[in-house]
Amino acid sequence: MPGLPDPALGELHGQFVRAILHRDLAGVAGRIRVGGLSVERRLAIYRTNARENFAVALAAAYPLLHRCLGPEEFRELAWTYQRACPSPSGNLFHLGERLAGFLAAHVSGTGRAYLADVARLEWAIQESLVAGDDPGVPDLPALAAVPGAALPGVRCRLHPSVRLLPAAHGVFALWQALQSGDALPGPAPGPEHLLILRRADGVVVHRLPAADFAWLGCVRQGGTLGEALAGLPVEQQAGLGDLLVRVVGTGAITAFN
Amino acid sequence: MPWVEVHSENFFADGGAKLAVLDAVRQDYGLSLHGVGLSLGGADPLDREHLACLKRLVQRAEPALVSEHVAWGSAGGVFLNDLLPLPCTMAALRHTAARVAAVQDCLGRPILVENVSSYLQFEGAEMTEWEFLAGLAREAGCGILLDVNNIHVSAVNHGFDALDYLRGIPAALVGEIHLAGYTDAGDILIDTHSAPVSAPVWALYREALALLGTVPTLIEWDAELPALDRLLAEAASADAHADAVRRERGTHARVA
Repeated sequence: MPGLPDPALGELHGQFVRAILHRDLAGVAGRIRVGGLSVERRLAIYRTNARENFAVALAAAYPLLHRCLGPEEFRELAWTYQRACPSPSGNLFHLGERLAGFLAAHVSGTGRAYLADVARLEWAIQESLVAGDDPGVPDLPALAAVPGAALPGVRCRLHPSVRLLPAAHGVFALWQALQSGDALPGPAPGPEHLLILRRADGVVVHRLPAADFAWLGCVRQGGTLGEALAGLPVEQQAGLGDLLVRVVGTGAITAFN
Repeated sequence: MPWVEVHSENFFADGGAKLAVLDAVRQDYGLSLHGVGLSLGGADPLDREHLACLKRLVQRAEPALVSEHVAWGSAGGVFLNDLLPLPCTMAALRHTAARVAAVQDCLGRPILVENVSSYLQFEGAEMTEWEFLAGLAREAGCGILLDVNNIHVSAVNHGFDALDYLRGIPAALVGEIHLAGYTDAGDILIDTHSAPVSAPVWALYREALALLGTVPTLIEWDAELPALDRLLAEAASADAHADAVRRERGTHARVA
């Protein structure tokens, strides 16, 4: 596989990219035929393409953020983000992976800090959409038949699309409003503990009690039922049965091992 | 509709609904995977992760055709996610041919490479674009996906004769034709895939069929999509043009 870049092509391409993203025409201008149209006009077409392609792909990945900001502000955000964090791949999917971090640096300490959590939620949804499949269904009767002494050693297999998001701000209601087409409410007080996973009919978001979220986090790290339970406050450790029913009901668990 | 073409990158997933839909489509239709992100003419090293995703998809979907573009898309790891023109030089041809050959080696099968619309040309050209395309295909051992709309757009934008382009392409290397609509910006034509195929492109398509013979043809319309019946009518128009050429020249073209 050819791995060494062609130095002359690399120089030309680098100049072209700088002209598109940063309007630095110094290097590339003399290397483009004019022929009726100015170099600026010709490059402007490519700049528009690059900017529009990026903004459209970003909006597709971040529909809630797009709605929170409105089309004009979102488009400006996309262009600012594109120049600061340009696409790292020929696959458009990846261009949104740094948006939450970029946005957090800009909205931290402002009245719109919740937007970073909106972006984190939407990126978790994107990851969930393309995660692997697992058609497994947990066998609860078999789990119930496990001797009590062995139960703490049981491990759970989670669906590959499971993502856990601790959000500092209340963004779950915003997501619900987007799904229903309702007017967006303001951000609710946080924190929230969100479970994102893909079901047969699409990605769903659940707002979990803090204890369920902590338990599921431990399980996701490979912890046994007992280890996950031990991480909870003592007063909540007696409720493992109810907790299991709640979590299994979300579809996050596909098997007990 | 005898076969379906999709953008490869839209299915670079480990699972989920898109792959399930693709599997279902594959049960009933022939499939073509058309990539837009491999940057075959780029100077950055070939993206091995991207190529691995493509290989995995090819192995899963077993498409009849796999294609990419004669273009570049990144420099220094910065991707513009566009199909950018190459300088028509021997160095660029050899560089691109080596990468096409590497892709084919990885996939274990030949691919088609497609000409793109362009809005500028670089100084120092050592050959025409059609000489570059034909030379690339010969050197890399790949086929050609001939986009007739792109030929027209670039011919108008750069002032060359589209028929010269067609006549410079070896018929035996052409494995697929693309048609599409463009937008006239007043001072330049832009390949937008957002409009019906234009009259001059239909005329050029007929010339292409007369020169190339039977070639699977796809109409690209992926922006500002009209209703399905409008798309099907566009495909029927392509069929009608192909039938007319067949009657005139005794050839037959299959249209998707």
